[in-house]
Amino acid sequence: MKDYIIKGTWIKQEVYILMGCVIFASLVNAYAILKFGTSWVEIITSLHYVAAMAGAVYLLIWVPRLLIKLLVILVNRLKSGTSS
Amino acid sequence: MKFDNQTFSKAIEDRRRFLKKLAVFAGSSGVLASMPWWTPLRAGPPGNSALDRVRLGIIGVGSRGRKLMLHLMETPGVEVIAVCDDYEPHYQRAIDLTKGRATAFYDYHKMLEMKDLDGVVIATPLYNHAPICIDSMRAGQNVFCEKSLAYDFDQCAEIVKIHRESKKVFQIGYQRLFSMPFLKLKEYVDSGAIGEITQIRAYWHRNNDWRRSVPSPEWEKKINWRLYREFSCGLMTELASHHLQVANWILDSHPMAAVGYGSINRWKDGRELYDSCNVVYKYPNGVNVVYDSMISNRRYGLEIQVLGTEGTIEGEKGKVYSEHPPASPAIVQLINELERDILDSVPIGGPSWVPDLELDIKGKWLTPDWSGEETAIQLAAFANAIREGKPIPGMIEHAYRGGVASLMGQFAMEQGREIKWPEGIEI
Repeated sequence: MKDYIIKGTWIKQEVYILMGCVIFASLVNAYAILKFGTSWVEIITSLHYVAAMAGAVYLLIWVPRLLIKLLVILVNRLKSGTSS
Repeated sequence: MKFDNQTFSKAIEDRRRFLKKLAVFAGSSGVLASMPWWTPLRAGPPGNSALDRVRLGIIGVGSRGRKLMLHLMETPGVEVIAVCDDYEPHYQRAIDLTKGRATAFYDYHKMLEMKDLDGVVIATPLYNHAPICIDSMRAGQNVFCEKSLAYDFDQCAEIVKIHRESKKVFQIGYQRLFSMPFLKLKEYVDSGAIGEITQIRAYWHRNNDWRRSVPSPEWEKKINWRLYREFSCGLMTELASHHLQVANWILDSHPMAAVGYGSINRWKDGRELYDSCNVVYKYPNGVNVVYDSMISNRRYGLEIQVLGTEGTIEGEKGKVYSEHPPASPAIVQLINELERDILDSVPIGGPSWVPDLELDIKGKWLTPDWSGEETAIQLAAFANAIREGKPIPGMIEHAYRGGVASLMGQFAMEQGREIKWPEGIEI
């Protein structure tokens, strides 16, 4: 069985991306409050919606990231194949 | 369920505790202002002495009469000392249920001759409500009569007249008068919380033939009296009567006129009374009560919807809905807007407008923790009123208004014309 090593830099990168998603969702919430003229209390009371949105955005970002990763692996394999 | 002595003793004690709580509620809140017929309940359950005991006879121990009898046997301070039915299986069943302690009669006149009787409970077919009520009141009895009051306008008026002369207790079997959700409904309406009432819609739908099994054909009309005109007014007096009473109560009035259509469109089995009824009642101030009943579809069950300019109340469900529900959080509104912009297409063949479908709002419970049994409460009120020797306020008025309103609907459908509220009785 092959062992996979999760590096600290990788965890750090994912946390930064997730935080970015939370900030993005909070900004969307703030924009929505301005647009629909509702109470600023919703910054707190809608936190569950913000969390759900942040999670959804994080997962959405995963798709292109995965594709890019697979592409890079493929290109690297092709390169190493031609060099040998 | 087993109906042994232990079951009844426990049920009586449970009911005693419940009635004690109800007495505190009836005495301490403003309930009597809107429901004066709760007055006897302030007294609470009686003690166990023989002097506290109210001795009742039950006339008609069929399906409803049996249920009332079992309730009465569990009511503190009530003793069922007589039963009466001219249908042998019911007569025998009543003897069995009372363990032979009640004297049984085939003829109610004989029962009325009993010296120690304090009151009678009448649960017979509609056509003989009036004769039995009248004979009982003339015999000096306190009377509980199942709804609907009587078979025609004159009989309804006669019962009111004799009750007013007798000064005895008269109660009608409209159990919603003793229901907490309906009390709350009335309070909501009176407080203006749902704005101006513009319409009441009520319906009662079932999907069955409304028949009871008959041992042999000669018993058909005796058992299935609800299907034959000489004994009943069908869905209007057996079902609609309840909601019409509530409508009268909510609107503090009675209908001025009624129009309607009825038909036998599903159960063409020799019955004479409609299996589908549609009636519109005209009330003061331009308010209509729209009623329909059928026994060929039960998707919508039963409900009474009180429609106001600021909200709606569904009495049977016990919920109130605002016309202006609080808006969703902004972020949800934004997501919904994006979803509409992205996913909504302009229909080519369908409607280009948004259909006015039912609003999808949850509403609020009128009484979230209510689990009372209205029939039990109303029978306890009857027993207390007899004990106190005072008529129950407002009861004969509800009996008359509800009874006459249900007859108006039946007559309007049968005669194919507008039926006006009968003049003559001040109510």
